[in-house]
Parts: sequence; structure tokens; C-alpha cells
Amino acid sequence: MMLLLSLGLSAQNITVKGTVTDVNGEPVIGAAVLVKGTKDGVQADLDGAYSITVPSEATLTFSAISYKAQEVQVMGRTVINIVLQDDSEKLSEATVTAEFGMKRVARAVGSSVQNVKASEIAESGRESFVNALQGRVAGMTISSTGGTPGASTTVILRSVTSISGDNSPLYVVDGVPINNKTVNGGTDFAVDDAVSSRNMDFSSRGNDINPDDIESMTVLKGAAAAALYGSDASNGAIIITTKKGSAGNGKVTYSNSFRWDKAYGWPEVQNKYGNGMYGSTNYYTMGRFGTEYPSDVTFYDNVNTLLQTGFSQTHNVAVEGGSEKATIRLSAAYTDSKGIVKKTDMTRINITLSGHADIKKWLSVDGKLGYVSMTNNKAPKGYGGSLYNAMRWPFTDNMSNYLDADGQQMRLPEKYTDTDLFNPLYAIYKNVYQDNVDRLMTSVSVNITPLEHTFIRATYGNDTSVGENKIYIHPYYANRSDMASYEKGSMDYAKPVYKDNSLDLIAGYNNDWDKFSFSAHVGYHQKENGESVLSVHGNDFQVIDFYGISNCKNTVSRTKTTLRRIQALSARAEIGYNNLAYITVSARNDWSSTLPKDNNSFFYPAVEGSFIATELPFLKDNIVVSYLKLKGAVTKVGKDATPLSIYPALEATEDYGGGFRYGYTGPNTSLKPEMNTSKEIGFEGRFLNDRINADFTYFWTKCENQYVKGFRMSYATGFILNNMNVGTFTTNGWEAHIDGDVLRLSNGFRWNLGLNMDHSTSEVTALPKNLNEYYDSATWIVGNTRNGLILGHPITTITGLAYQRNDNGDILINPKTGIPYTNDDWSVIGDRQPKLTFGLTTSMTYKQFRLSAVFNGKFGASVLNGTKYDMMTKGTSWESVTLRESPAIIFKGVIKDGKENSDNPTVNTIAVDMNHYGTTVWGGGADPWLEKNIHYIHLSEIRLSYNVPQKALQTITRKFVSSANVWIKGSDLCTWTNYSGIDPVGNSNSASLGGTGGQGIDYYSIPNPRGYAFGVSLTF
Amino acid sequence: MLSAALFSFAGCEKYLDVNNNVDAPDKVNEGLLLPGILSAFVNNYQDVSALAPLAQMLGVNNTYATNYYPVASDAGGNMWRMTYWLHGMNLENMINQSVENESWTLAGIGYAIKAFSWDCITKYHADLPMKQAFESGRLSHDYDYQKEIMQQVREWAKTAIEYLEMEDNTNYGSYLTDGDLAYHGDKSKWLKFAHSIIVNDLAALTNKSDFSTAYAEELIAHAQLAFSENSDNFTVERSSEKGSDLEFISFLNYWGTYRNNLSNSYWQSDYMVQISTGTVPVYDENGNKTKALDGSGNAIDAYYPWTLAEKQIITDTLKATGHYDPRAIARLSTADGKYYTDIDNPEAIKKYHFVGSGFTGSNSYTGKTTPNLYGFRSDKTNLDLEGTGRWIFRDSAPYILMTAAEIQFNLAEAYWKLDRKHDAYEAWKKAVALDVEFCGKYLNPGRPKDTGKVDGSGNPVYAEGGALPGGSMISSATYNTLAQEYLAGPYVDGLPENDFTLSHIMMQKYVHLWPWGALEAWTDLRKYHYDIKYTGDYPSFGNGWNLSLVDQKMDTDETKVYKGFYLAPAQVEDRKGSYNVNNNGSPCYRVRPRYNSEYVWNKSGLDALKPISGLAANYQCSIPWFAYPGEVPETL
Repeated sequence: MMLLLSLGLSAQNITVKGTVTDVNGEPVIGAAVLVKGTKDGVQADLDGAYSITVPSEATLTFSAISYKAQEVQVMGRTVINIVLQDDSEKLSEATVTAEFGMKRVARAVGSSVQNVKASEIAESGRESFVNALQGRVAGMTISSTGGTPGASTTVILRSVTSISGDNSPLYVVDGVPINNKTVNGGTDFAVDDAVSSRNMDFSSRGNDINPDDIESMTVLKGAAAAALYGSDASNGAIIITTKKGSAGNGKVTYSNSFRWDKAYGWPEVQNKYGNGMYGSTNYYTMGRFGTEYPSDVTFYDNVNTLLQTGFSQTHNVAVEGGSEKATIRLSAAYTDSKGIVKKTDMTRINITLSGHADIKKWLSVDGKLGYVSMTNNKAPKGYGGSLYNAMRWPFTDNMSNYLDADGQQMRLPEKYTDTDLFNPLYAIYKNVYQDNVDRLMTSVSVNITPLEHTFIRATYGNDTSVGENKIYIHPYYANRSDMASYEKGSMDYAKPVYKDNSLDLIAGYNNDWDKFSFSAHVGYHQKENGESVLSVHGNDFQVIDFYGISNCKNTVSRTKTTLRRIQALSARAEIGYNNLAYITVSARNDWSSTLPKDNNSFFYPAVEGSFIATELPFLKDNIVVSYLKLKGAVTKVGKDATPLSIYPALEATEDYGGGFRYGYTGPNTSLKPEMNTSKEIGFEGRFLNDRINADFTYFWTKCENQYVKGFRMSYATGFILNNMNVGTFTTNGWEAHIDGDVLRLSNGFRWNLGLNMDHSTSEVTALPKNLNEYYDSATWIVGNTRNGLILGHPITTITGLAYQRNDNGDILINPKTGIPYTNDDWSVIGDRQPKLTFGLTTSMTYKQFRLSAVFNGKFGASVLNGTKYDMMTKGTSWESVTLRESPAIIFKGVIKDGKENSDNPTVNTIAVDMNHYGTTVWGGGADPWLEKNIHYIHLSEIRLSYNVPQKALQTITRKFVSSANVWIKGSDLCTWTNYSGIDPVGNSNSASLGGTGGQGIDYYSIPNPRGYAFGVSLTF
Repeated sequence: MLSAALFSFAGCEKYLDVNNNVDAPDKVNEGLLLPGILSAFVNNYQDVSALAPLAQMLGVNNTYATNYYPVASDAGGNMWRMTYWLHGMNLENMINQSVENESWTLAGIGYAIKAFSWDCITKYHADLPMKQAFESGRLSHDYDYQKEIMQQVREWAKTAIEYLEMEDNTNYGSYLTDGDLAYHGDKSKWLKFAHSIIVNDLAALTNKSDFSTAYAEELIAHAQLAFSENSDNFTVERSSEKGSDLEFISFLNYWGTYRNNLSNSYWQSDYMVQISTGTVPVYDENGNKTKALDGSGNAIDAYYPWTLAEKQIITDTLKATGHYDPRAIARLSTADGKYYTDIDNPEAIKKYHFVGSGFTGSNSYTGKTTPNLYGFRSDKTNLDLEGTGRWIFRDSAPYILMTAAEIQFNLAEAYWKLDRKHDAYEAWKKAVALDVEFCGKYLNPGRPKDTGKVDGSGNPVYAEGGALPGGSMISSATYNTLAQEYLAGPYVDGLPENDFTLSHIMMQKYVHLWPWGALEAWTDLRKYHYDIKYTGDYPSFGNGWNLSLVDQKMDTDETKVYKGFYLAPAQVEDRKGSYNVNNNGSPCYRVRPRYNSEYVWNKSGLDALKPISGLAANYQCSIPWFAYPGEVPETL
């Protein structure tokens, strides 16, 4: 269609014709063609064609939404074909969405930010938007605890800043911080340690966001984000802007995705030797050190019995519309995901309504309502988990018959008469492992422009969710000869209610004078995090098959209620000179309810600056370097404590006579805020006529007054555990990003390649004298190893009882046994932090086709192969068979005979027959299970999409469908690695753990399954 | 809007005042702290697992029995846990809040409890972090020496007396009537308790060379105001409910059948059986026992086959009136009389036999089964445990912590040291009478046969079912009769004053303390250096022991206090062996501090200790101050 808006004729008028296309050669329907300096113009038709009569010396402006506008001088030409460039890069360069939804000129930002586009999130097709960021942001480490639906995700930007607290970044949606809690099985149930973070994983609340609602994401790395968001953002922030309705013709979009998941990569169990020890079969023994299986024995594939092909489907519908004055968008999403372990699934419904209205010239309002409902059924993982038990189940017995002859009781394995091997199928069919949540997120914001150059903005947000977490154990899922110890069934039920709300009032002023630009604002902030968990534990079921708390003979209940409030004042001023140099000063003072009154106020300033070198006269309009910004920032940020850390609660004694007494943890009435100082310098640039984008940041962080929870000291403190400000550590490292079009052909073919890289190191510079090692005992899973940190070493180390060594580093061998000696003290045995983490994104576009892929990987990390340890010591791996069958082994090392540190130590020649180890082949020290210098590259997604050509679409659907896209995709297809175990990523603990977590500890962690998906997205 | 913000900001303090625990209080009335503090004394019982084998009261297969310590373990660290944590700030707060509120009685009770538990823990571990304890913000804690701690114990006790003697107008409601599990608010008893603590504290010092001049008079003076009758005893009451009706099993006695902590792991020791039954054997010059045989070469008594020492201290095997000590059947387990048909038959009871175990386990001599402390044979499983147990090994028995008899024994010993032999003799007689009464107080007679029927195997059938009923194998009436005869007999009232020795005091005290007072018994044993034969002031390597042998006084030695007592690597039969090489031949003199408190997190404090560093492999052999006649040497 060709619409003639107006036509100004003059004496030298000529008619110019041509087509407007995008880089793929697609017509840009409706592109505006305007005569510069006038309101005269036309729109391009279905084929992108236009025709306009203009003065021969006029300049034409071609523009369309999401494309860069172009100006062309007519200079007498009658045919002008235009290729419009994608606008996204320009957007990201021009402004960034900064704190509280305000825009900042990108060139003025001195700290490190990275934008991620909606299309990238959508392309990833993950149920959790967080996982979609994998490999796309330099300096962002994302560790999922496993490949089952609803698994929690640990996200760390740059580096951890707390050795025992929460290290996740702050998630901010449309200016409102949202809750990202993960239920803690150790403390959130009615009985302590109802379930370990190693065995059960409750989903992270951050995963509730509908990825399809996201318009863009800005990742603020490092402490700079905290300058205005406050201490919750001391680990960085992920600023999410959701899609808004647009004015004009209403729009309906629908997209879907269907995915099939196939598990792979679990370790192979040897099927040569049966249960037993010392070479004789004994079905009482779990170890597989018995005799060889007879040749005619039938083997059952018990692991596969547990697994299934996962299937997930997602449907997104969104409608939007409105006028110039008011717009509205309503979206709904439905996700149903069946996991690779039978009975595991996740269902989620998201409904979001958002609107914007300009009420007066000086007043506009935004509002949003989001509802989420999610249910997640899971299976126990790790040691004692479903897969673990399936692998232990004797091959000679068909595990899938999980019921006894009575049709009720759990069947124990054939022959195996010991009673501690529970059927995992019985567990997943008869027990309940579930969490669900109903969540409402509301936000309103009011913008007022009272005077020219000023604004006042008020934002209020509320995020309330009610969850249920259930762990119900069937009475017959038990050792029948000793029912008492399994309590004849048990129910653990926790109902967390989280209420977070925030109020931000900002008043600002912007103006330009001559070459100077100035903007400033002051803010008042109020934030409240309320948490209340009601939990109940019951056991001893009266009716065997009924789960209900009144069916339990014994019950215990608990409430856990905390409220944290923050008040803050903030201010920021930014001065720019001639687009060339900017300096920004921010400051914030927090008052926190969680600290003692005398210490509850803390002030932290930040300074950042940028210098746009390409604005200098001699560099301006340079083709090689089109844009170069030098940047730097220094930020301080304080961090308060968790609620109720000052005075410990008294607990009912549980003793005769009643009364109260203190729990394990002592009071600390002199708690101070943690204080982190972070510095960074770097550059951002675009090169070769904007064809290459690159940026680089080097950072240093010093984390002081570390608030360490639950560390031990002498009981003479009056307590067993203590909360104190002890410890300091530093981190430093760099992040780099480069992307560019490797190929741009005239036929529209374009190949883009992007690389994100980061490196960081750290060092513990102060710990209390009596604390030779700080660790989280939940990571003490594999032999004598754990996530300990020791003075003078990085914070990400693994500590263990290492082999004793002489000054030369040789292992010391016991002269009597030929076995290496192990140290009595814990020492650092490796560092989980890789030397380099990278993500690689690539895409090729040609006409309507787009092929894209994302890789991520690590270089030079240490990974603890806990699975290998467990399988070796239990004789279930083929490696243990090899060791068992090998003649005799001589451990490499020197004899500890007093000469070990002389010039001629006695080289060990004592042969050890591993066959004699009977019940466990080799538990050894900590060293053999640590694999150093591990590299991997993981293909996290590969995707091919096709845009149905507009013209065809409009013709076929009679304009009913305005755009259509179909795609196919494979996710987590393969990993190339030098690691000998299952999963070089490895994360033994759920996100609830905090501190340096369980990343790098691989213990029966199953990699994400291979997924194959397709989908369609349509706009009406 | 900004002004609204500023307005709400003015209310900052109130807005932020939300860091309060709404699920549990962080401060309560001091009266609510008392029951938990008293119940925490279960920890004294728990550490009997270390003390009873060290004092050879119970046989148990643990490392303490071998005078060593469990490496990298918290076992034996319960009093530590109690004093610093379960009492710890709870007790400090109870005292401070009471003083603040002028609740003088409760303040006095607090100081008394503090004095008592620190007296216990210093007798157990010797040197301790005391002055720096409970100081907030500390990352390490220095140790104080026992001399100062024992002095401080007496100071605290005196503070307790001072407060308890003050007029108190506080209305305690039910906090003292119900929450005071020891005396139900009877202030006079608490006052006696405070005096008793001083007596008990000083009693550990009777072998100090300056005892007579520095401590004896004070001991005697406080003893006059201390416990005088068994109703004064410091005990902590336990629930009388049935196990299945309870919310928490900790309501019941740690040694009761429901909690079942004694079944088949702890056994009455051979030493306790020997002295309680008058069967201390004679050892020949090679340290061997000889069998007393009849004409045909058979043992005269299959249970006590050895030639017995001529002079027994507590009782003898004669069944004549007054010779038999009924406390044996009250305290000890026997395999005889299990059907309770003879609980009122003194002659049958007198024939019951007792088997003692070696100190590292249940083993006795072949063919005889030691019944466990509940009175059941080791071949019975727990399912056979019916009834409520026996004597103080019962669910509802109180925790016994300090008694009137102890005070009299301490007084007797002090008089003895002052050479006031007659006073000692009189105090001792009172003490034994108190023990006889004490011992009878906890009898829990078993059910006698009541159906008259027998089952197919000839065993009696009971009205309430077939399982074995538990309980004491003597009725209270029969006990009292035999007890009065015993008190009047040749071993107590009938003992000629000239025959009265220190052994009578200390061995009767040992019997009285069995096994709940193992700490005091071990303190006494250490005070007398285990009757090791040494010269000079105290034993040491090469003077009393070497790597392979502890040279002990033989029973014939006049100066030997504990007749029949021999440490493990002594020269007599059943005691030969050796200590862990780290002991360097020395018996254990103190229990090492709790591992996960001190050995992991407070090494610097331990390391500074003298003369043996707390980190040394033989720290458990470091002699405490109370057992040195003079001051602790700087180096050894």
C-alpha cells in the first residue's frame, strides 16, 4: 500500500523510486521516507517499495522502528534503494537502562555493563531466563545443580564477595527488586536438616520470571551497581526491562516450543564382578568386590528403568495495543516440562498485565501485575538419590519390580538381603518431593515533570509469594526390620511466605549549558524483605497410604519469621563536557534494621568517569576506530547482616522442667556492615566502521569485615557457633567481550562471532588466628575434601587431607604397607576457579535463515571427581576393575624412613596388591580425586530459524498474520573436555548454600540432558 | 512527596526496629532459665563414661579405660559443653538479671550452681579458660590454672551464701516451686548446698602439704553448715511419666531403661564387686591370685574362687548377722533371683553372687555372665527390657550430684588429716549411716511371683505378662533390716576405733560414690596418686612408673588407702598390660579439654600450659594442682 501523506511540489521536483530492505534483503514494510526538514513523506509498501516526488537537491530520511535511520542526498537520482541497518547496536551504545529504570547515556557510564537482548533470551528457549544468560555475559558464572526441571541456579557475577553469605546478584524488574530465594532444607523445615542442600533442590524464585516477557536485560557487574540499589546489589545486578504495549494497531503474538530431552553421561557401572568382598560374592555387601558374574546371568538395565525421555512444551500469548496516551500489554505463558527422571515435572503459568498512560503533560503512570503459579515434582539427587541408588541396585535383579508380592511394600533386591538399599522407583512413585509457589508481583510508578528539566519519580513494588515444599516419605520406604529408625513414614511440610516491597522516590534535574551537560538526582529508598515459614514435621503414619499431618502420630511444628528493613538516601550527579568526558559521583547511606543501632548506618560513595577518545578532533570520524571510550570507577559498598544475627533466640529446652536456653549460635552486639571496595578500569570500542565491538575491564575488589556466620571458636565464648566480622579477601581479574561480523556479503549473508571471556583470582588476606580454615560442612561430601579456604590462598580452593610429601614434593610412603601417608591437617589441594571462563556466540544469517550457536567453557580449573571416588571405593567403576585385576601396584613416591629429605631418598618399591583391599579398593588421600587443569567447551545451544517472508505471509494469510518464524534447536548437545568424570561443571550443592558453594565438586551430578526442540512464533 | 519521605524518615528508628525474634524470645524472665540449667547436669552423668572406667567403677570398652583419650573426638567433653554453653551465658544472664532485679534468692542459686559446676569441671579437666570466658569479641581464650579456679569456686559459693542470706521480696510465682528441680525453692537447702560446695572443693586439697594450716579449718567450719541429711542432697528431678507418653526422651534419666544408655556397654567393675562383697583377693609375690580349693581340688566358691584378703574393709563373706552389707544387692546386678520370688528372704539374698567385669569390658571369668546394670543378662536383647529399671538406673531416678554422706566423709578425712582420729571415726560412722539410707532410698523392688503358675519350662508366670519384670531384688523392708544389722555390725559401729583407718573412710566413700560420683572418686584416687609406690613428693617417670609398669603398693602396705585397687599396668593378675606409648608410662591425671572446642579452635591457649603443654601427646598425664603437695612445677 502506498500512502501519500502530503506532497510539496516545487519547480525542480523529480520522482524518486526505490525499495527499502533490511540487511537480509527483506522488505521493510511501512518504512517512513521523509523529506528532511519537512513533514512531507510516504511509507514503503508490502514490497518495501516507495515513490516520492521531491526537490532534486533534497535529503531523504529513511526510518523504521528498530532500524537505524539513514539520510541520503537525492542529488538528482531517481532510483534510490536503501538497506536499513539493525538498530539494536545503536540502542545499546546510546543509552543503558540504569537504576530505577532511568536511562543513562552509555558513554557516561564508567563501570562495566553488558546488555542482553530479548531475542537472545527467547532464542535460548530455556524455562529459566537465568540459564539463558549462560555464555552470553562475560564474568557471569551460572551453575545449575542438575538437569531436572526446576533445578536451582547459582549465579555469580565476577566473583563472590561473601565467604558465607548470599552471593547472588540482585534481580530488578522494571525498577523493582524481586525475590530470588531458594528454600533451605537445613533450616526452613520443622526439624533441622530435614533435607540436605546436597540431596534436594528447591527452585530459585528468580526462575519464576517468564522469559517471554523480557524486553532487555542489563547486567551491572561488580559493586558499582550498588551505588544506588544499595547493598543487595553488592554482587551486581541484573536489570530486567519487560515488554510494554505499543501504540497503534493492536498486536497479538503467539509462540511455542516443544522439546524432547534425553539424559546422557551417567557413569557406566562395571558388570563383571558382583557384590561381595575379598573376591567372594556376598549379597550383604554393597561393594562390588565379589566373584565374577556367571556367564549366563541376566543383566537388567536398572538405570534406564528410572529414566524417560523428557518432554517440555511452552506456549506464550501476548496482546498489546493502545493509543498515543495509553498502552496496555497482557501476556500469558504456559510451561509444562517432564523431566528425564520419571515422575519429575514442572508446570508454570505466568500472567502479566502492564500498562502505561500519559495522564497530563506533566504526569504519566506505569503499572504492572504479574502472577506466577508453579509446581515442581522432583527426585532426590546426589548421594542416596534416585540415580545413585539405581546404580547400586544389583544388575542381576530387575529394579522395575518395585513392589513386593503384597502389592504394597517396597521390594528389596533379589538375593541382596541387607536392608539399606531402597528402591528408587518406589521412592519416586510413593514418596512426594514437591515444591510449588503462587506469586504476585505488583508495581506502580508515577512520573511527574513539575518544571522544565526536572522530574520526580515514585516507584512502589510488591512481590509476594506463597510456597509449599513437601518431602513425604512413605512408611514402607524403610528398612522393615528396623522400622523405628525410619519413623514409619514421615512428612516434612514447609510453607514459606515471602513479602518484599520497596519504595523509591527520586527527584532529578537535567540541563545542558553550552558544552556542559549536567544531571543529578536525589533519592529516598525504603525496602522491606519479609519471610515467614510455617513448617510441620510428622511421623509414624496411622493409615499407611495416606499423607496428612493428622495421620501422623507425632508432630513438631515451627515458625520462622524474619523482617528486614532498609532505609536509604542516595544522590548522584553527572557532569559531561562536550560528549568527550564525563564524571559521575554517587553516594548512598543505608540504615539497616539487621545491624546493632550503633552500627546500623553506613555510607558508601562511588566515583566513575569516562573519556571518549574518539571525540578528540584528531580521532574523530576515524574509520578504523569509530568509537573508543576509556572508563574507570571506584566504588565502596556496605552490606548488612541477615536478620536476627545480633541476639540469638532462646530455645525451649526440650528438657524436663521446661524453660529456655540459648541455641548454638552466640550473640554479636557489635556486628558491623561488611565493606567492599571495588575498582575497575577499561575501555569500550567499535572498530572498522562499527563492524567490531569490543570492551575490556580490569577489576580489583577488596572485601573487608566479612561477616562470617556460624564459625566455631572455643566454647569459652559461651557458644558453639559465632557470627562475627572476621576475614578479608581480595579479588582481581578481567572481563572482555568482542563481537563482530566476520563476513558480510553483498547477497545479505552475514556471519557474526562474539566471544566473552573472563578471568579472576582471589586471595584470603585475613582470617582470625584460630581459624586455620573456613569451610561449609555441606560441601564435605567426598572423602576428606571440602570447599575450605585458608589464609594466603584463593577463596575458591578445595581443601583436603592431602598426601604427605617431602621437601621435593614426592609423596611419602609407609615403609610397612607401601601406602602413601596422609596429612592430619587440612590443606589446599586445588582451586576450583578456572584460569579462564569463556562464552562463544555465533550466528549466520542469510535471507530468511538464521543459524546461531552458543558455546561456553572453562580453561584450567580443578574439579573434584567425587563420582570416581565413590565408584572406585565401592568397586562399581570399570577403573576399579582394572585396578583390582592389575598385578600389584607400586605407589610413586619415597619411603618415609628418615631419609626422605636427604639427597638420596629411598624410592618406593613396595608392591601393593589392590586385590587385598577387599571392601574398598582405594580411598586414599584427597589428591587422587582432584583433576587439575580441566578444560571444557560445551555446546549449550544450536538453533536454525526461518522467517516466513512478509510478502508471502501477507498474501497467504490475507494479512491476518504479520510475521511468522519457525525454528529448530538442539540444546546441551555435547561437551568436549579433558575431564575424566561425568560433568566438569559439577555443583554438589543447591543455590541455598551461599558462600563459595559447591561448584567444582562433581558428585553424581548429571549434566543437563540433550534437548531437541522446535517452535513457531507468530504475530497477528 | 519528598516531604512525605522526610517525614517517614524521621520515624526511622521505629521503622527499623523490626529485628526482633517473634518466634522465640531473646530474653526471658531469669526464672525460666533455671530448669534448663539444672537439667543440663545430665552432662555430669554423660561424662561418667570417661570417669567411671578411670576410677575403675565401671568396666567399659573405651579409650578412657586404658588411661588414654579418644583422639580427635568430643567423647568425654560433656561437662565442658555444659559449663561453657548449656550453663554459659544462660547462667550468666540468670545471675545478672536476678541481681539487677534484686531477686537475691535466684542470684544466690545461680552463684551456687556456677560454683558447683566449675568445681566439677576443674576436678575433671584441671586448667580452664575462666577469666576470659564469656568475654565477647575474643578470638582466643587464655587458660587459668586450677589453683585460681578452685579459689574462685569458693568465692562464688560465698557470694551465693551472701545472696541467699539476704532478704528477698521477689514474688517468683511458680518459677521456684516448679522450675527448681533440685529443692523447689527451699532456700535453706540451697544455702546448705553452697556451704557443701566449699567443703567439696577443699576436700580435694587434703594432700596439699599446707592442708592442715590453710584449708582444714575452713572445711570443718563450712561442713557444720552444709548438708546434714539425705533430704539435703543436691539432686535434679526427672519426669515420672512413661517413655511413650513423653514429648522428649530427655525428660527421663540418662541411665534409665527407656534411654537405654547403659545396656550391655557398661558393667559393674570387679573392684567394686570385690570391696562391696568382701572378696578382695590376695596376690602372691608374682602378683597372681591363688584359688581357694576344697579337699577334692574344687573351688570352695565357684563365684569367688580366690583366696581372699584376711582384712576386708567394707564387709566379708560371712553370712553372720551384721556381716552382710545389703548395699551390694541394692547397687549391683546379680544373675540370681531374677524372678523376684525371694525379695523378702534375707537368707536367700545373702547367697546371691556378683560378677564384676574387667575395666575394659564385660569379660569376666569363663562361664559366668555379667548382668548389665539394669539387671539383665547380656544375652538378652533390649526387647526384654520391661519394667522401670533398678536403683538409680531408672527412668524417673533423679540425677544425684552431691550428698550429705559426702560431706561427712570429707569431714572424716579432714579430721583424720588433723589427727583428730575420734572425730574422724564419728563422722565416718555418720557418713556410712547416711549412705546406707541413701542407698535404700532408690530401691525399686521388683515384682514377686504372683500367679503361682509356672510355664512349660518351669519359669513362673506373671499376672501382667510373660516378660521379665525389672527392679531391685530386695524389698525395702528387708533392706532396712539387713542395713541396720550391718550398721550395728563389726564393719561400722562395731569396728574398734583402733582398727579404724583412712582406708575405711576412702573406700566407704568410694562405695557411696559408685558410680554417679565417679568424678569425686577419681579426684580422691588421684589425690592419693592411685596408691602408686613412689618416693618424694609425687610420682613421675622412673619414680612410680616406667614404660612397662606402674609400681603399686601391695595391699599389705599399711599406707595403701584403696585396698585391692590396682591400675592397669600394675604388677598383679588381671591388671598387667601397658599404656599407650604417648602416656610415657603415666596413668591419666586429667581429661583433655573438649576436642572441637579447644584442640581445633583454641590451640594457642592450650599450648601455653605448663608444665606439660595442652598440645603435648601426654597432656592427659599432667598432674593437676590439687594433687601436688606443693605448687605446680614450671617444668618437669
